[in-house]
Amino acid sequence: MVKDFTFATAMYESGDWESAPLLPGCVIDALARYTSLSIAPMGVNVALGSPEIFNFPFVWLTGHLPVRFTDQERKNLKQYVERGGFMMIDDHNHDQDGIFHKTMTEELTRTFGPLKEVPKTHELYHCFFEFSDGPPATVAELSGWGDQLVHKELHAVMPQGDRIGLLYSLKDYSSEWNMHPDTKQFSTVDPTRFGVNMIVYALTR
Amino acid sequence: MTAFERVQRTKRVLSVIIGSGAIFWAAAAVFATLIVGALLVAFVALPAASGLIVRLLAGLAGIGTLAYLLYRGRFAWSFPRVALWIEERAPELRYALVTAVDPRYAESMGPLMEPVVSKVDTGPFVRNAAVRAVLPGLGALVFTALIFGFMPTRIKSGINVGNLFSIKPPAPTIMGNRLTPLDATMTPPAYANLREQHLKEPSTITGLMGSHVVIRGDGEPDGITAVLQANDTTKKSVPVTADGNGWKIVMNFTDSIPAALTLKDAHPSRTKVYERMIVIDPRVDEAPTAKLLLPVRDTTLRTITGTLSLSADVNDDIGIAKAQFTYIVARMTEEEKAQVDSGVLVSQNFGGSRSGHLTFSIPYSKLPLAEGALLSVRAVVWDNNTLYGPRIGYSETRTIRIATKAEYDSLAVNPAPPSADTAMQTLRMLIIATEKLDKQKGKMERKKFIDSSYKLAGVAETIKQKVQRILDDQTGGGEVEANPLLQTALDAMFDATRSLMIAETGEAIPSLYKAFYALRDYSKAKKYYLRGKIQVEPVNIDRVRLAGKDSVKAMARKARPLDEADRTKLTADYASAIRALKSSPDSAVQIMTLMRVETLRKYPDLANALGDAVTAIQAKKDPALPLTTARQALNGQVGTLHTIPMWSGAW
Repeated sequence: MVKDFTFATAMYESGDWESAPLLPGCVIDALARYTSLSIAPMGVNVALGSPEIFNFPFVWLTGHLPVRFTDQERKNLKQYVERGGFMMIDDHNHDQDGIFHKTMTEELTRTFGPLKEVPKTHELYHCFFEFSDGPPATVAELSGWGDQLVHKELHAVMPQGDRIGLLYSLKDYSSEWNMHPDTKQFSTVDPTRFGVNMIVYALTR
Repeated sequence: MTAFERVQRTKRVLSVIIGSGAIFWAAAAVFATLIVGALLVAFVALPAASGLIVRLLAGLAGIGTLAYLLYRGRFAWSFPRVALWIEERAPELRYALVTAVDPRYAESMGPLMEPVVSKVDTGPFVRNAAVRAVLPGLGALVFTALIFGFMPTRIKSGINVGNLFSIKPPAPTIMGNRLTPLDATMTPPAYANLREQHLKEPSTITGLMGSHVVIRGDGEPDGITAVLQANDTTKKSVPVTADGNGWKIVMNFTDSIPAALTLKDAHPSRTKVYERMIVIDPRVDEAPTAKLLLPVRDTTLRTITGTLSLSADVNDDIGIAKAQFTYIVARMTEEEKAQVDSGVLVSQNFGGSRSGHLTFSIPYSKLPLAEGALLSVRAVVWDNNTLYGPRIGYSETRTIRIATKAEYDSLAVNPAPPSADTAMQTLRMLIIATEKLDKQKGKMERKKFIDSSYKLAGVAETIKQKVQRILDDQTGGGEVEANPLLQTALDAMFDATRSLMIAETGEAIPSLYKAFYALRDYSKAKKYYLRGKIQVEPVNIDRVRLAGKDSVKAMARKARPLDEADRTKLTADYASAIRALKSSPDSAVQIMTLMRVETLRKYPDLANALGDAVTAIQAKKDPALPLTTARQALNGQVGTLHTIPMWSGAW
């Protein structure tokens, strides 16, 4: 039985997981516009510490506040990534000195070891839309908010070869894509195209 | 210049010329003897002390040549002989010089002879003598020195040229395998405070990263090479140097990847080449661990009072430097910005012990807490790895939330409403009592029956009021809609109370059951804890399907290499090793050692079995058992067939 792709947002005990409520709809809209994937019209929220997380091939996780995973959350995250899931973690602060970044990278390093840089030649940037310069810059970066840096690369956990199991971003796509889908019509280029790449990569690679 | 002075000066010059020539020839004789001796030692099987003999012979040759030449030129030290030497080269003197310097005639004949003597120039004689006496010796010295200088070191080493004047004998020339016996000394890094290890005939050297390793063997170092191979592509040559009467290799464990050290003994005087492999297994200093014992769990405080008690156990495989309790206080400001304070509560040094305990207490009022703040605490521990550390370990984090007065999840902080559960308990007893009374209807005196029913009505009224209070709390005094289950229970209790007051027990019982079931369902209802408002925006998929305008340029999928690829290669290597085991055990050992290096981290069971097999082969014991274990480890779990296999005809 073919099951619709459902965009899942991870709920975790610490911090503010619910900080980008409009993002799922915005990405789902982009997926419908550019792919023929069978998609659920609404996203779901799934607890990182629950076994239900394993029902979703792609999970979005974001927040501003300090993150401390519980033992169960950490165990599930490790299993999820190692068993073929794709976890996208985005720093909603877009700030290298931000508390989310510091605490989250500590948690990830503790769980998986140091994150690896994703090269521009990686399939993630070419599997659907072409992003030859790597990850697209966000308004937050270009406006000089947060750490006033345009982060040139993303980092990842690659449990097998170069397959990405966990993608970590300081670019704040959570702010960039946290809008009503119809708002995108005012943009010259659909800003959520990179989200399509992420999900296509997660589902096909 | 008088005749006497002239002869005296010539005597001095001739002495120097003859002495220099003798020294040059003597040195040339030394070099010539060394050259001949080195060639003999290198290409003819001579006793081990032959190098020393050659050096002694060279010394004797030099001394002998010097003595002979000085003796032959001894006239230069005799005053009359020098005068005659001049007379011989200047016949026009007609013995005037000899007469002038002869003490018997010097006084009377000297002044008469001086004019004759002064006409003769002795410079050309002396220069000719210098050329004849010095240049051949100098030439011979340069020639022999050049030959010796350009001679291959491996030939010169036979006479221990680096230690020419030492009486210590050179390293013995071992014609057999110089790679056995081997000794290894492994010195762990200073920070680890571990003992030095001495290993005899090591097949594997295991040590902490940063360890210093010296491998020593017998014999001279010539022809011994050492190559460190971390994987199929990376090879690094390790210098082999002389060490007293033997050779040595010095290495530092700078990498965490296992490697194979291949030693090769290819002595120039032999055709047989010996080879030996040693597995280098560097171990990484693990990060320390911290286990938070107190606080036991996350909690919510209504007010900032009381004491925060912290307790943690810390451990490390080598030694702990220090441990701390750290905190982060985070809260959202009125402008919706995150405000964060962090710091260290306590820090304690552990001085390199492997385990320890950290405790600390602090009143909450001393922390920068405020309403709505989140206080996160954890233990952090550093090990004492000063070489490539320190490594840091973190405990679980406990979060203590300070409740706000206005927060909507007030169930957590306001006094609890009357429990529906207690109302149910009382109601169950009321139902039992009512049913018992109803059965006695007609048997009991009417007045007594009415009084009993009235008493039960009082209990029912109490329960009804309790349900009313729960309902009021839930609805906020009627501001929001009541829970239908509670409303049903309240209505049913109203009916039951009225029936019991007029002693209609039979009518009261169904109403009591209705109220009971409603309260039971209410108490079982799922309680949700809402953290925030999630605005769900369903997307009209049909409206936007494939309506995107941006151009898509997707690349083709690439095949990903199989995860088991390395196991396939290892299986092939294992088969090669087994094939080579009978005909060439050394080759089998070499293959298995390389396999061991590859598998030490990923397949430790296989690596251990291969190590046992190598040890057994080298000790000329039966390696069947470790080889079987290795094959089982290589093949993984035993598989089961889900169908009946075809009959092979073998039985």
